[in-house]
Amino acid sequence: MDKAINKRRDFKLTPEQQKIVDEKVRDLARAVRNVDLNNLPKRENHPDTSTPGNGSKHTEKA
Amino acid sequence: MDERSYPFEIGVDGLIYKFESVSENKTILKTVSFVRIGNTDIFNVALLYPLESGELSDKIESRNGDLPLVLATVFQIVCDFLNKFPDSAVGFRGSDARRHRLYRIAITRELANVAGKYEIYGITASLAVVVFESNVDYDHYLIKKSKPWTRLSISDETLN
Repeated sequence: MDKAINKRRDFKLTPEQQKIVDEKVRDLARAVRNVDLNNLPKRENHPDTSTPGNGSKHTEKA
Repeated sequence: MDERSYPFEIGVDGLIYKFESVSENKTILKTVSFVRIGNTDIFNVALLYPLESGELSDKIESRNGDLPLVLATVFQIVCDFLNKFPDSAVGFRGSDARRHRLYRIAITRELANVAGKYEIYGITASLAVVVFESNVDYDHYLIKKSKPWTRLSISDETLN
C-alpha cells in the first residue's frame, strides 16, 4: 500500500480528544521530568557504550 | 515492521496523523496525535479510537481484526515523525495493562529490525531511563532516532 504522506489537511482535535491527550501528556511529563536526551544510556554491545544514566542497572547485552 | 501498513495522512502542523483501519465489516478512522512535553524535545504519542458518539478514546478496542496492521501503521507514523524531528524522542504507554503489555511485545519483536536506526528505552517506576529489554516492565516507552555517527560505528563493527 502506498503511504499517502504527501496529503496534508488541517486536522484539529476536538475538546474531548484534547482532554484525553492532555491526560496522557501530564502522565508522560511526570515520567520524563529528569530525562536528558543528550545523556541517554546506550546498549553495552554498542562500540560507543557509555555509563548509563540515572543509576540504571540495565547495562547487560540485550 | 515487516507487516504492510495503512496509508496515512498528516495534518498541516505535522502533529496529527490519520489513517483508516479497514475490515470487511467496517472502516474506522484512527488518529495519532503528537504533543510536545513542555519545552523539551520529547513528544507524547497517542493512538485515538473513535467512539460511537463521535468522540475519540484511547481506551476502547476497535476489534477490527487488523491489530498487526494498525501497530505497523503507528510504527511507520512514529518513524515518519522522528524523521521530521530527528532530535526528538517519542514517549508513550498503553492506556491499560493489556495494551501496555501488547506494546512491549510489539517493541520486542522489532528490536532487531530497528537496531542502529532507532533507540528504544524504558522508563521505570522510579523514573530511571534504561535501555529497553524484553520481559521487563516499564511505566513508559521512549523511542529516539539514532544519531548518524551511531550508525557509522555499527557499520564499522560489522565490517570488522
